[in-house]
Amino acid sequence: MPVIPTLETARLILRGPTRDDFAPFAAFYASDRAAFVGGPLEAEASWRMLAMEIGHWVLKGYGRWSVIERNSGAVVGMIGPFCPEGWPEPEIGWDLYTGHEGKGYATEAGLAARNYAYDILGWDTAISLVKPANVKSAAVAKRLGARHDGQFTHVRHGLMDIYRHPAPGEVSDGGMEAYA
Amino acid sequence: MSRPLTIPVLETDRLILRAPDARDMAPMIGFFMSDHARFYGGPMTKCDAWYKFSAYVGQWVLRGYGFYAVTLKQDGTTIGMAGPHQPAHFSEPEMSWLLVSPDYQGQGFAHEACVAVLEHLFNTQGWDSVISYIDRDNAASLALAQRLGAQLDPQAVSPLPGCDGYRHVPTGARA
Repeated sequence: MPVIPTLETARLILRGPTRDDFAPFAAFYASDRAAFVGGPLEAEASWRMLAMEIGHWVLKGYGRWSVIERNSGAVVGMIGPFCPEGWPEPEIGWDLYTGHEGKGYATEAGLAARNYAYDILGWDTAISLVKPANVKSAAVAKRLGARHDGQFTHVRHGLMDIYRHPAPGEVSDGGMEAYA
Repeated sequence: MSRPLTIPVLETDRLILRAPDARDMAPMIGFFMSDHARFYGGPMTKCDAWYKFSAYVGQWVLRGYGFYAVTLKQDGTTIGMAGPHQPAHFSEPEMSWLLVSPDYQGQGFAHEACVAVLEHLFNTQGWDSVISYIDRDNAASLALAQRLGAQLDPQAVSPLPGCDGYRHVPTGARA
């Protein structure tokens, strides 16, 4: 099994998903908020999804982190580089769990994840896929400097907007401190 | 850093059982997309197959046990998987197995792999029993369960429709 690196930002810790994350993960995927990311799901399907997120690390060498709020220890989301079967190209993906919106956490973790993808994984470009009605997720993409770059229809998720992030050379904040 | 999970390597006369990884992806996806996967939720799309295999891989971290990739010692070919598997709706882990292609059937490979896994569970991990849920139409799997010494467990309630529970216990443990 892979050793999943831990990243730290000002307010967040990004670490490998564990069994302890199942309750918040399943609560999010059971909610209507998960409609934009393949939900709502029964607990059984959420368990498989969480296992898949970990398997992704093994199979791809990267994946999404569970995002922890430093102050409270709460699991606030699942964010990171992601490219399961059927994706058009690797993306920076973010799920922000209920009750943790509006604090800029998706942007903060998304930035750390993008820096990791560029600096450590060596990506020369990155996208994020957003369902057209998911206005809040599109706002995160825009805050990260990503621009709308066409659409894509996925066999499971249907039509999604593609947002393309600034290239590594265009990112002013090199952000090595994000995972120092 | 997250604490790494060490997955043992089990060796038999002809097989190496190891942690599943990217080398097993193509044979496993091919299996799930084929009619041979009808007792494993298939045949399914490539996308669903990828998610299912990835979940098999990741389950090791969630449970501390899972499916081993079963590979041929002579050349490393992935021929199947075997190990205890426990999705969220299973009340206990299930000892399961599969061969990715009929080409590998009839040579005792699944039996050899399962014996190695069961010995590891009972002798090293200290498990005192493990169930297998066998579809009533899956004659080959039923024959293997019986050859492994598993017996019908009338108390077992299968989470899978159309299946009966067969329970394995360590050699000598059955009265």
